[in-house]
Amino acid sequence: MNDFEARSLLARSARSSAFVLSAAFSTISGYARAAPAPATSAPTEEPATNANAVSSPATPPSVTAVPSPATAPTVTAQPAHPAKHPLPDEPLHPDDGRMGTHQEHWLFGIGLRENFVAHSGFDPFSTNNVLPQFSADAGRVLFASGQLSFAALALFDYGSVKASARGLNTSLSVSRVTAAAEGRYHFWRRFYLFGRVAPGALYSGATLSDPIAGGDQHSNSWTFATDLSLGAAVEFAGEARGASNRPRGWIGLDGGYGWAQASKLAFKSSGSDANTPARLEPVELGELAVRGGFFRINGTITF
Amino acid sequence: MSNDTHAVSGTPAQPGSARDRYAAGSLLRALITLGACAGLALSLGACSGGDDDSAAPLGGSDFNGGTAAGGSGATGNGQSASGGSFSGGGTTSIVGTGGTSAMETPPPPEKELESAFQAPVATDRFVWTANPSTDRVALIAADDFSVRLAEAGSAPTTVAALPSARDEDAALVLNAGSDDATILRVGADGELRSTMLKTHSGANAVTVSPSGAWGIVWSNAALVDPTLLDPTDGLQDLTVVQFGDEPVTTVVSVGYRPSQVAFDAKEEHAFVVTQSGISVIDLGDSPAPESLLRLSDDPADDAAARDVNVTPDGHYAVVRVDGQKTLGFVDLTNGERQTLTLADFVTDLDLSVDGKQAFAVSGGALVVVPVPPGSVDPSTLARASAPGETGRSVSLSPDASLALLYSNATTDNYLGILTGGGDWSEYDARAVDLKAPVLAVFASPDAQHGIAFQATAKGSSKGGAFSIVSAQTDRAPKIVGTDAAPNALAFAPDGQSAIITTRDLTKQRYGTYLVHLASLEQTFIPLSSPPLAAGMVPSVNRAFVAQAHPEGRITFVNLDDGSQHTLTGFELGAKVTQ
Amino acid sequence: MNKHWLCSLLLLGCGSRPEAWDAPFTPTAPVGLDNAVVVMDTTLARALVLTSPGALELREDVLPVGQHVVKAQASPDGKRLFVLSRGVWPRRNASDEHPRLTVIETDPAPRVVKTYELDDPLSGLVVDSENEWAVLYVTSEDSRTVTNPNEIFLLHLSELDRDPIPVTVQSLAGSPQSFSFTSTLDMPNGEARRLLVVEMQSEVTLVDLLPSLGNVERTTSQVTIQMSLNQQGQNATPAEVVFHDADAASGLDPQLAVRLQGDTNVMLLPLVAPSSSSTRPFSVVPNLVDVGGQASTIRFVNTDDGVRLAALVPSKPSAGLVDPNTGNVTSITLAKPFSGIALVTAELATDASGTDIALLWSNTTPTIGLWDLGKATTAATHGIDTLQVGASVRDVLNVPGDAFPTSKILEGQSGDFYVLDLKARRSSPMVTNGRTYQLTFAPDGQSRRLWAFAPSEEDFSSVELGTLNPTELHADSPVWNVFDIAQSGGAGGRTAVVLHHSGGALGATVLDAVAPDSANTRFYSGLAYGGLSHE
Repeated sequence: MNDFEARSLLARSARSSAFVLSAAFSTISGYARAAPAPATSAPTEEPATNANAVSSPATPPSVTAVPSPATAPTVTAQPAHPAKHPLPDEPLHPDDGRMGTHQEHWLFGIGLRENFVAHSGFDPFSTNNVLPQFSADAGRVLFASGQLSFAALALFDYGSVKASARGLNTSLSVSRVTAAAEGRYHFWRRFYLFGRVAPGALYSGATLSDPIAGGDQHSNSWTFATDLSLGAAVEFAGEARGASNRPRGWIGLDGGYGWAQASKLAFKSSGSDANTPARLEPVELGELAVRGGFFRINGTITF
Repeated sequence: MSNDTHAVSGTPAQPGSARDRYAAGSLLRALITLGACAGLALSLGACSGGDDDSAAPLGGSDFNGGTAAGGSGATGNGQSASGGSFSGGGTTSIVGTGGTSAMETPPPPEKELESAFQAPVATDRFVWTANPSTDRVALIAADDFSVRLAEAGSAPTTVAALPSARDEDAALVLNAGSDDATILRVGADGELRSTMLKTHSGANAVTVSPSGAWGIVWSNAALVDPTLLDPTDGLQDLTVVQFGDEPVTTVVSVGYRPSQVAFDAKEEHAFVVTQSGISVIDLGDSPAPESLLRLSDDPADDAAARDVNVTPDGHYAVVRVDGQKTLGFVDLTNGERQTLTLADFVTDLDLSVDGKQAFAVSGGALVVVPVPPGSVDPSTLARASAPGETGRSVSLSPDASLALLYSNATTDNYLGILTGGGDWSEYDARAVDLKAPVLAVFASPDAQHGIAFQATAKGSSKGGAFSIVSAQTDRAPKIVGTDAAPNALAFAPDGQSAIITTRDLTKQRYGTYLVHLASLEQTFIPLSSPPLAAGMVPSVNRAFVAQAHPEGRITFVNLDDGSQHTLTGFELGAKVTQ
Repeated sequence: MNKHWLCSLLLLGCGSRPEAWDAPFTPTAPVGLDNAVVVMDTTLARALVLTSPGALELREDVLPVGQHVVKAQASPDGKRLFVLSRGVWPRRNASDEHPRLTVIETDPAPRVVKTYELDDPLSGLVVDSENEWAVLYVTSEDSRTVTNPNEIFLLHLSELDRDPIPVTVQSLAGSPQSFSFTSTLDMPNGEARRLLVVEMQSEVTLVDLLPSLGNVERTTSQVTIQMSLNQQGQNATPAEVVFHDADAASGLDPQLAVRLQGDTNVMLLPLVAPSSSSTRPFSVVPNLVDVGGQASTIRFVNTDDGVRLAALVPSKPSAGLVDPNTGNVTSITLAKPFSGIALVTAELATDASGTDIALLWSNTTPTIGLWDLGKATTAATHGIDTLQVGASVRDVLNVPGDAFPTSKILEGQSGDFYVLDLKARRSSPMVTNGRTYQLTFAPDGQSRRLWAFAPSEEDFSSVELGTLNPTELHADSPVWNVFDIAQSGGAGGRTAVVLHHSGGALGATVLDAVAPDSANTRFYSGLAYGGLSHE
């Protein structure tokens, strides 16, 4: 892959990711802002403490004697301000100060993964060591205790590169499916660091276009792959209230080392092309190991 | 030892004129005859042209085959209306009684073709050839065919062998570009030494005395392009060379247009035949012209029409003039002249090798004249002829026992073979039909055979022909048609074999014939390049044929078995850096 | 810059891959060895050595050679490969690679056995047919500010540890155009030795190849012969040089002969004894011989009349037999304008007369001739028998090995070829489908087959030389080249490697060379990646 192609792919991935993230952000933000005022037509009977509790999560809830109904002053819920001039920062619900869904949630994310494959087997397929991939993940935080939590994810990465090797066209597509175990530590409810181990499988599909051999020859293989990474995520959208079930938006950045088992590059013809010479011996270009450092930037929606 | 080639004299056609002289008698008849003959001579003046092959070196581009030792006797071509005569003080004349007619016309002049066939220079061990373009002379050893090169002056062209009493080979090379000469000597040890001599400008001929003590370097007009000669170019300078450890040269002047050089037996004088007469050069400590012996008292005498033969001892000069019936005898010691009038026009003249006899062809027969004639009655002179052959030219064997009569002025297929001896009072003669016109005839050194060069016979598709005739035995001649015209001949000194070259530049056909005279057989050897000249190296029993090639080419032929060895690129060895 | 921005954005370094993966694959023409095929990967400065350990198996080894390979050449016995490279030019750093010559052997396993570093780049390489010498020389591709075009380096292949021997070829005005080696010649003065013949524009230089000679003496002992003047007055250009050893029976000195371009002359160069005071082993005495026309080729032959230089003159047509001793030429009229000659004495001679038998062929008429030179000057036919073949002959190939000593392959002008059985005097046409095919054999002939293929075609053929049975074969990719190699596993089998090349791809179809079958092959691709990946 040349620089232009890499940037193009990166740009496309970035644009896609940005679009999705923006859409998610907009959705989340809009949802947060447009949520109707709960029960504005009827006076609320909720104790004022709830609202106070929401607004000041750091303040212990004050206990206020509940006046008798006869002597209780009449509290009339103030109708919401007319929609014409909403108050943007007015929380819908008071912050309960809990981790809640900041920590324990389902998550769905997409992003861009940049791999740096220094193995010589990668040389025929790219003019540099970069293998960009589209990355998607989904999972659930399974366990939380205090600021620590543990999540399980499934990740999928896909990317391809093209180049020419001594004048012949080559291409390589790499797909990685991993199941990750992620340990998190929330420094704040909206920010955590994590470490992730993601074993899985990697599929590489290489193509060599040789006119003498009658066209394209392929070398495909599945290998064992594992990622080790460290990262951080920050919540940029979502209610402060921990109990909120509303989606939250996160941006994460992680990096680490992706290891994959080496696979043999033995190009064979599919045999379906009439131009393919008979008894064509595979072209062996050694081994390919898609391993090396990587970083990923992704956006996640949590529920 | 120089090659015993047939030194065919190179006197081309002489201008024809008639004038008869009567010892006493009718002035009127003389005047009438004179007028009639003059008129007839004028009309015949254009009949015979110069021979195409005469005198000039044959073929070649960069390479010069050199000229024969002893120089040449060529005196130029063309005819003129007037002939020579002998009169004046100190002159006696003898008139033959052959009868005269009122309207006698001389026969058409014979063509002296033989002089065109000059042999390259060979000494005992080497064949010498000069390369004017590289200023070198190649010495080719005839035994192992090795080639060594000697530096000469600028544009060496003429090479002459030098006799040497010591065991060495020597030659004199004339350098046309630097007006000097180089003496090259190769001793028995193989060491090559050279000496430079200054000569007069324009030298192109060399005559060396028999002992090798003296040499005359002179300028032969016959070897110069006529278009380059001005009438005032008399070529009168010549250089006298006294050979020795320290050669000395002296430039002297002689008469107009020298044509021949000879020495007396004691080598005290040199005689230069010029159009002015015979210049006598005193060969002493300071060589200088001594006198000019006139050959005629008539100032209108056309010297170019003379055929001058000097006896080998240098005592006499015998003069024939085309269109005349007289022979002139000049005593070179005192200048006294004597005239002998024969019965008929004298068409050719040759001397015996001892110079004691002159053989004149007159009236179709061979007339034997003692030299000097003294008071001999011309009518009593021995005459020899072959029945059926009216010869105009003669080729004489060195011992004068074989005379071959022929004529090339007309288309004559016949050859007269006369064998005699002594005074030729008795002789045998026969005429043979050679089937093709005879151009030139050569008698073998042993007087046993003769070879005739011939033109294409009528109806023949051949380029030429030659015939081998046996002189002493009554055998049929061997007639050989050739693809190309014969152009050069060399006899082995023992007369047992000969080499004949043929060439046709148009059709690029070149070859040489090895002739074994005793059996009258010949072997043809094709050549790759035009032959220039042929010669003999008797010491190794080989003949050589020099050919035209940018790098020089020569083929040696073994006289016994005919095996050949061709060497090309005499100076290639000089281009090897090792 | 963009990359750095991206990396900054990603907060981490991106890394990059080795440049080899970005380097295009631009191979030179493959070279076949006895048991391997080598393809030069010039951009990565390496040699891809393909061997066959067993049936239908192909193994690829990668060996480093110098950067910017300019030439790769196999030794005549197929055991070694010589790779000439220019290195990094210009060199700016000490670590920049020098020009070099790399010597590779493949038996028992492919490896670099020797590397020679050179001071300056050289592009010319020629290897002696007797595997004793190699010559490195300057070509027109090696232009620099100042170039010595006559500088050569001699490599003694029997002593690989010996540094290349520098020699400046002696010349008046030319530069080396062609090199050839004589066999060992008996010298008139001194030890028998071989000579390197260097043909230049108008000269021929002889370099002494006596191994014990010192460098200085080797330079000073050179002999340079300037060619003769042609009809235009210019020095002729040598076109071909042949040689013959001394023949004591006939008194013949060692001889060289030079055919001159566009000239009817042939230059004889006898090596005669030098002057008594000289210590040189020989002296050259040139002689020119006119063979009657422009010769198409020359060869020394033994005739019934002794050793002769045969010169074929198609224009006449004739053959001139030149006696090197005398320079005399015997011209023999030929029935056809034969233009090529090859000696087949070893294959056909039945007596010990010592005279040669030659194969004659023509590039204009569909006739070949067998010339018994023992009857060259005695028989009316001069000992020449003619045989009609189907087409004029472009070239004649020898069948390697000992299995078919009397067979020759005649490549026709039209693309067809013929298997000629010299003994049976029979030629069998192998008709192709009109294209011009390349023919190749196993270097040792062990597979008893020849292979015919046309580049970029998928179909090719193999002919069993014993039965002349062609087997049609098919490759699933256009053929680049075909090689027949020995299996390196020691089992003695043979493998045919059919190479395919397109852009950055290199592949090979492998099949059994002894019993080839398109249904029993294996196809190997991705050979250009050899050595780039890691296990």
